[in-house]
This record gives sequence, C-alpha cells and structure tokens, in this order.
Amino acid sequence: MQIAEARVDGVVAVAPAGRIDTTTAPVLEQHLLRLLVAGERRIVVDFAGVDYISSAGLRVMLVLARRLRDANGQLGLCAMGDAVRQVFQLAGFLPLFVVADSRAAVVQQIAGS
Amino acid sequence: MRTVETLSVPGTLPGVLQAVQAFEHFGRTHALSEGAAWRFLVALDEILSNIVRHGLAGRRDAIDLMFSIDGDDVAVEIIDAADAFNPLLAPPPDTSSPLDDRQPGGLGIAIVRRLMDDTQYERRDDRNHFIMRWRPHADR
Repeated sequence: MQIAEARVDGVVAVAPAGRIDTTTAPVLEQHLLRLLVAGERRIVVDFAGVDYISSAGLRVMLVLARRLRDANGQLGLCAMGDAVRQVFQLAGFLPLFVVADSRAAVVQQIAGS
Repeated sequence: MRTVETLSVPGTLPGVLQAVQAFEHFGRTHALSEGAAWRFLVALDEILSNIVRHGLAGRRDAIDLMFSIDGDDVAVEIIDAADAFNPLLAPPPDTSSPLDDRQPGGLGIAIVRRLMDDTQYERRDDRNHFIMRWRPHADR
C-alpha cells in the first residue's frame, strides 16, 4: 500500500491509496502508530485516494483514536468517498471522529484545539 | 443470461487477496457498476478473513467461491470446510456507544448484512455455504 505524508500547521496528514482491508490495514496501522510513537499528536487521515475500507481498517482508526486521545492528541478524518463513508456510517463510526470534507477544513478543526 | 465463475483459493490471508482480485476482474469483465463492485469486495474481505482466522484457524484448507451475475443481480457464494458456523447468528455489534466501549468484533458481519440485499447461510455436505446478493435499485 502506498501512503503519502504531509505536514501542515503542526498536523501530520497521512494519505493511504487503494483499498484498506485485511491485507493492507496492518501496513497502515504500523505507519500511523510509528508517527504516534515519534511524538505526533495531531494526525489527519485523508481518504481521497482510498477506494474502500473494511472493518479491518475501521479497527485501525479505533485503535489510533484511543491512543491519541490517551496522549491528549487529536485525530481527524477527511475526504471520504461514498464507499468509505458508507462503511463508517453502517458501523456507527462517524460520530466517534472529527470528520470534514476537505483536508484544509479538518486540519483547521484539530490544529486549533 | 446467468454467468457463473467458480474458483478456489487457499484458506490463508494471501488467499483472501487472491479472491478479492478475482472479483475485481469479474466485475470489470461484466461491467459491474462501481456501486456494486466495492460492496462485494468489502464483503469478501470480511467473510473470508473470518473464515481464515477463526474457522480454519491455520488449517489452510481451500475455500471455494462462486461469483454469478444475471442482469443486474449479482451473487457470491463462499464455501468452506471449517466447523459449522453461521455468521448470521452472531449478535449485532454495539454501534452507538462511546469510543471506549466499542468492540471491533462482530462489525464485519454487520457491515456485510447492511451492504447486501440478502445474505443466507446453509450447512450442506459438511461444509459452510454463505451466499450474498445485491442488485442496484433505482432509489439508490
């Protein structure tokens, strides 16, 4: 899985590409947890390049959200396409996260908090 | 006209990927709408990874798959030789509690049930048969 990374206003934005499923979720999880261990406290996951996500990917978001919260950090999600958004919604996951349409909007929401 | 494709994959995580890629190919071949294809790709990942992790638990027995399409009506049947297990009897996961109380277990099958129009389970000839279908609706 390809994962792009960028930094804006003290927030690190991580943009995985392709599918997030049983095969790729562990790669994404390692990438995100490495950022956390390196001291990153404001993380955005940008779904613009993600085709779809299965519960393996939802579990990664759950783990990351809990660990960031315990470290007084913030997690933001953005740019979900229909397929990704529907799975978050079916699982009742949308209310658990800060979600915005664009990366700029979600960065703004968590950068100032 | 109903078109059917059958294949067999190893009961391992690389086998799950092989099945997902085979369905992607099937979808492209039959010009399946994007709205239909991703539902089945997610559902295959959920059901197959459950069989590999919990059902077969390292036994690596082959899993048989049947993809079929009849007009707009798409169905996937998954057949495994693990102990009898009906995923449709799993209790629904909690989808409304706060972050700390969420358990990832059971989410996969709940997602499959909500993504598909119809899901069925049968135990036949000492094998589990899980069948799921979806067809595009005008109101979607």
